[in-house]
Amino acid sequence: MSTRTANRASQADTDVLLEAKQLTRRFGGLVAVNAVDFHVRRGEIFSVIGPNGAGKTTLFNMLTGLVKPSSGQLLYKTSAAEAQPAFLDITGRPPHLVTKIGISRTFQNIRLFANMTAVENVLVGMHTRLRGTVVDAVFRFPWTRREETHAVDQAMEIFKTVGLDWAAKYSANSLPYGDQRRLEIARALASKPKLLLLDEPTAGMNPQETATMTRFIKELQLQTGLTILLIEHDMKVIMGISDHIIVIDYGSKIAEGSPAEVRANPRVIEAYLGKGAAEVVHVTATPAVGEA
Amino acid sequence: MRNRNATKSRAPGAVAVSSTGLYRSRTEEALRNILHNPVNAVLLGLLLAVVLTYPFLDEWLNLKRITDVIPIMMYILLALGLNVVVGYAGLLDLGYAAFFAIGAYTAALLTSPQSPLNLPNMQWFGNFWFAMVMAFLVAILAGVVLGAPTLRLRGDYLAIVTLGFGEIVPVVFRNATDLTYGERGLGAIGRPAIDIGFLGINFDLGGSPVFGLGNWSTQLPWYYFFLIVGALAIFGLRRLQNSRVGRAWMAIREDEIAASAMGVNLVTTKLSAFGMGASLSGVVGAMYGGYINFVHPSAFEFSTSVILLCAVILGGLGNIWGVILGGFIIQFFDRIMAGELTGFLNDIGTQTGNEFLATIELGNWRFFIFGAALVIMMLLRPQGLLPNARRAAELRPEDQTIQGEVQAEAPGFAGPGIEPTPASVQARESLYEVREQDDSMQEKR
Repeated sequence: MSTRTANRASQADTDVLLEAKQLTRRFGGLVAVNAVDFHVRRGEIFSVIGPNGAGKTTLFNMLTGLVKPSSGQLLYKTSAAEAQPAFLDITGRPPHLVTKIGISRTFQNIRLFANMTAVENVLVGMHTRLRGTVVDAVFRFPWTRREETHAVDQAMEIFKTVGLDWAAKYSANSLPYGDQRRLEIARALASKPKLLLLDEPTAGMNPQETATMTRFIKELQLQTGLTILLIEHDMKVIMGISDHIIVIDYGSKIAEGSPAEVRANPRVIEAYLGKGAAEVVHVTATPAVGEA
Repeated sequence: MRNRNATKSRAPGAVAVSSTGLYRSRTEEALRNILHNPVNAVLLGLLLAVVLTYPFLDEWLNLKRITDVIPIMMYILLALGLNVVVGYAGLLDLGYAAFFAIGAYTAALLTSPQSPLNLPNMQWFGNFWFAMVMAFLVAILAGVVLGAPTLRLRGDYLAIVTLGFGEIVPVVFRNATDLTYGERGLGAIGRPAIDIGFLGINFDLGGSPVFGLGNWSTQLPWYYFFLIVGALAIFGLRRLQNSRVGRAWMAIREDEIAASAMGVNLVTTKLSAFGMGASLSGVVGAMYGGYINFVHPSAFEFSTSVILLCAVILGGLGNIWGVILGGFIIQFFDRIMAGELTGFLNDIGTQTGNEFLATIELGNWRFFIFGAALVIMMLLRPQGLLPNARRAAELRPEDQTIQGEVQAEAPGFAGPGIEPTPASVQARESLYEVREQDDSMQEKR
């Protein structure tokens, strides 16, 4: 993961997995996301940060098709093998089709299928990869049976990856909070995504749990080589594991770069902490920031 | 995660999830546990034996109830179909009787001699099996046609639209007098007959309770006909429940947005739920037409939909065995208990001189009683008699919701490169203080 901002633009053509061009979303008079451009490159952890209400989740919802962009374009590279990168315009595609081409996500406020078992949750995540129809279900042909057995085996593999192998048969809402987060990631992984979108995976966690989750995300990326797009507002999480960061405030991209660059950017500090808070930090915490 | 270690240490015993074990639903696992107790196993065996031999018991014990039991079975079948839509997919359908009507009228129009379709060159006309298959297909089509305009609707709005559909269908059948003879209805509907000449099998399910043909020997085949269709329905529905499609239905019920983000096509999945639910009631409609031998629009009104919904909710949304129990209880009360109890109460009334009890007719109170039962159910056991999800309650952490609601925000600015200095910690704390003061100020206002 030698992603340096300097050569980012030149390498962009071959390595880009997802490209957003002037992505904009208005809700009535409010511009939630305003002309945001970015490249997500294959195999990196790409983070989107910004204060509460900056438009991070709207951006995510546009990427996954839950919200249609008001204007702008989303390009997704479907095939890595081809010499000529084949880009697919996925702007405004319905969510299930976005999932089908390899983009999967988790939610900020956990959205598991609460009354289904953990393994059923993961099997729903495999929905796009399975073929069974109503007729297959009723007659349960040999190939249907094989598909289901195979699916369950794969689900158990995923549970091992995320460390939930004990939880398979318990219903999702009976799992502890941190494990529900893991289960959501497991469910997203079940669709074999090329791009995994994590919306605040450490929301609601204490520092210790946050550290565990952060380590887990990094390990997951190293193990699977997945491209991960991460939304966070916990700086600690972002700085340690990101390859590339964009900062959003009031819907617009205000900064972009490696963790070190973003951390040093005075505009980020001010925007991120808010005007009232910035004063407090400037008075008391300037040496710490200055050091970095 | 205070409970996490506890659950993990318990884990090794609990991890026995095999690929095949998944096909077993949680209720059936519970059933398996119940069967470990020999007394329960014997009781369940007895129940099964009674179901399988009921017509003979009826005759032997001189109960004369078989003409009530068959409609009970019919309602249970309808409730099972409704359960696909309401219980699995979570789409509240208040017009389910419409599909029942469509099935019954399809069969009637394809078999009744009065039908305008009774033309000389109609080859399959009058054949019950053909009519039943057509009823099945037409009902699926109707389910999809009704489903299509409701796709964008949820909850209350969906209920209102389906309610409207449920009202429209009987009205159409009532007023399309050229086709259906309106309120006079269509009679002499075809009955199932099995005639395999070269095997020497010739079998006809005659007999209708309405026109005085109802005697035990004509009811007997109907009982087994309903029983076989019921067994097939349970078999198919159980398999659907544990399939890709069934999981997608349940995922939509649990969280539509998450389901679509997981690749579930909301349009086709919802339509398949409507279609599957309707198909069963189409088949039952055709059977009803053949059994009663007469269809007229009043049999398919709103009250039928509501009673079916009551059965599903009473038994337990989404659980096949629960729905069977719910349908049985409601119809058993309606058709058997109410009459018996009325006689009993009237006797008490006459003997004690209480005029109210002497003249009470519980049949007239049925909706009051259903309503009261439903209210009591909602208060005491909202998940139904046999609920769908057996939750591993011992695993549920008490602090789950509290943790979920606390949003970890990052007012401090600290990365791995920046160890939080006392100053930055203080800054962070002061931010919290400011916020807390703001909150308390707002509360005071």
